[in-house]
Amino acid sequence: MNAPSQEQIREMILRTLSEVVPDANVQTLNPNISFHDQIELDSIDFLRLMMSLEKEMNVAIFDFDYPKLSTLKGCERYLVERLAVKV
Amino acid sequence: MSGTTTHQRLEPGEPSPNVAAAATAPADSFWAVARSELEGLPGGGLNIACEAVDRHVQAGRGATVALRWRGKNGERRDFSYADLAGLSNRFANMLRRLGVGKGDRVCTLAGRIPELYIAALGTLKAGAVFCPLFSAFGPEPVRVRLSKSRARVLVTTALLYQRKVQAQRNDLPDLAQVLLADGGGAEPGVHSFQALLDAESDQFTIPFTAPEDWALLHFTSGTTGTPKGAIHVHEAIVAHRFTGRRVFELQPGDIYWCTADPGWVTGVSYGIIAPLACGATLVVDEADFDARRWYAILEQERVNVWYTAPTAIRMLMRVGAEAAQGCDLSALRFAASVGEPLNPAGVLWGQEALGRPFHDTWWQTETGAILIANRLGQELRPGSMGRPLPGITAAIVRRRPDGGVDLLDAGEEGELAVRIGWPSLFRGYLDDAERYRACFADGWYLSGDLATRDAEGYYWFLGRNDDVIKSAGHLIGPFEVESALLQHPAVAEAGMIGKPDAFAGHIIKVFVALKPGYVASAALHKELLGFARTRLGPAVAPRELEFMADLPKTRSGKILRRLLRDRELGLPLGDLSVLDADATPTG
Repeated sequence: MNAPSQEQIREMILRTLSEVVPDANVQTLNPNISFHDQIELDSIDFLRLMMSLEKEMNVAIFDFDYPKLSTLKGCERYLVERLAVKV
Repeated sequence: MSGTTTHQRLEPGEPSPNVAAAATAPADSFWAVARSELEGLPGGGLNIACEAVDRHVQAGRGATVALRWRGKNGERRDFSYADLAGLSNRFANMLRRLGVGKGDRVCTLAGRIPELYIAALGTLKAGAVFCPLFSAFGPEPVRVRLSKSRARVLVTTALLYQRKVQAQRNDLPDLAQVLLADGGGAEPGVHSFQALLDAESDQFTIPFTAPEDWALLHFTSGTTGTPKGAIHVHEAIVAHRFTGRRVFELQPGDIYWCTADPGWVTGVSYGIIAPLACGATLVVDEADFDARRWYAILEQERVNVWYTAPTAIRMLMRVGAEAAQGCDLSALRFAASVGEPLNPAGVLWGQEALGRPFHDTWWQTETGAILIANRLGQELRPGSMGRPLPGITAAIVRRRPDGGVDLLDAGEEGELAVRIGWPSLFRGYLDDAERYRACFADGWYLSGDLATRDAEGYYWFLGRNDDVIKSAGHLIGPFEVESALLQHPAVAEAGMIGKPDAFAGHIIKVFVALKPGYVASAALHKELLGFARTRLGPAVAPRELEFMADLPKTRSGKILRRLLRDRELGLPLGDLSVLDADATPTG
């Protein structure tokens, strides 16, 4: 099985984020600035985002790694690495 | 001392029914002793900020760190008691210059930034009323609370102002001044907090504030109607300080961390006032929950006493106790929890992970301070609220149709009630004498919490007698949520329930019936959730939505939320003849 492309991963993250935060315009996010600083996201939202990504990507995200996933770029980087290990 | 005849809306300075209650209450002499330990103001006055800050400076403890602030990007700032005294003096001088005086409301809408703490204490010094708003509220809850409180001044940040207030200024005629912690000056009536503070003297003499003068206004929710503004007076400091000492055993110099946000009552009573009144060092973390960061704070700051909430504890449990291994938590003396009942597993998990069990505590916005708790030196019963504190008389009661109450025996289920007469009992709901009166019967405050008492006097929470829910420890009423959805053109009816959630305790779920011509679809589903969230903000936003053809209602059209909840939980729906009955919700 081929690992999804970075583009596909990004699409998946944005789709998941937009389900958790349905009023956010996720297309305009700055990938290098934390989600928290751009859209209103509380701890429960963030946890739901992490759990949804785990489910969607079928990959384990370690709780202690959550801070690494606080930006779109960070999410992409982390998931690309995790999925590469998996494949 | 019936609450039904004397409790009504009061203006600042008016005598309170609680004074009359206290004069005859058996606990009177007890609280008089607690009161005598305070500094007070000349002439019999009392001021929360004087007790929290200035008295320590006067006693030679001005160099002790009062507030240790840790910014989300790694910044760290210490404010000594002398610093905090000077800064709050500047803020009080500024309010005076702005024409804000006794009884005027000063609101904050901000995260955990130092300016919020300075504003809170400065407001109290000026004799004005501090009213915090949670920064995760959306524009609608913010407008309603600013409007109901008739706030004269708002302290916030540029981003929060732009997102939640600016477009609504025309609807807020009382809001004369906005102070931005990180900017200002771009439009009339919007100032830089820092620039105004810098222009003021750090010397200020607190004007006379009577124990019954208004000090704090905390909004809370009931089943019906708009949020209720619970009024607290300066006398509340007697209970704040007492509980800080008797529940947390706080001593001057202790390091204390309360994770609650000061947008709610816990973050003020126990996130600002009580620990400072005890002379402790208050740790404030600006960042959101992050397990690794939290353990680092407990370790690095050598936290002695930690007050947190079940949602956070459940999130820590998810990470696992082993995450705390390797952290030196030997300074931690006491860990406590508040916001909703903590299940026994959570209590015991504290022992495993931190070496200290979590002690559950019970109180409400209306009670102003902890009234029932598991305390050090007493047997801890996991899953219970604990026992009433000294000076507090609690009971399980049943309301009678004639407006009185019957006291129930140990083991019986009923409503948790507390004998009035303790200092931090709220003194009214702003502009709502009727709802205030409804909280009292036969000299008891009726909490709306259903509970039972065991043979040894420990209280056990069972549920609520109304339709409010606790989500992440925050009390949320259906009215605001349903009203926001009803503003959407497609929505004919909306009903809110709390759906059990592994972390938040409950999340908000709404059931929606559409108007003719609208069809349920995935797109509309997302649109409605987004619509509600834009207005309400993440703290109050529904996270799930389900379409229904019709919502169950009474004959007069009240939505039967209990039926929605039972249906969601898969419970038997029982006798549906209640559909024709008009139950009268409390609150």
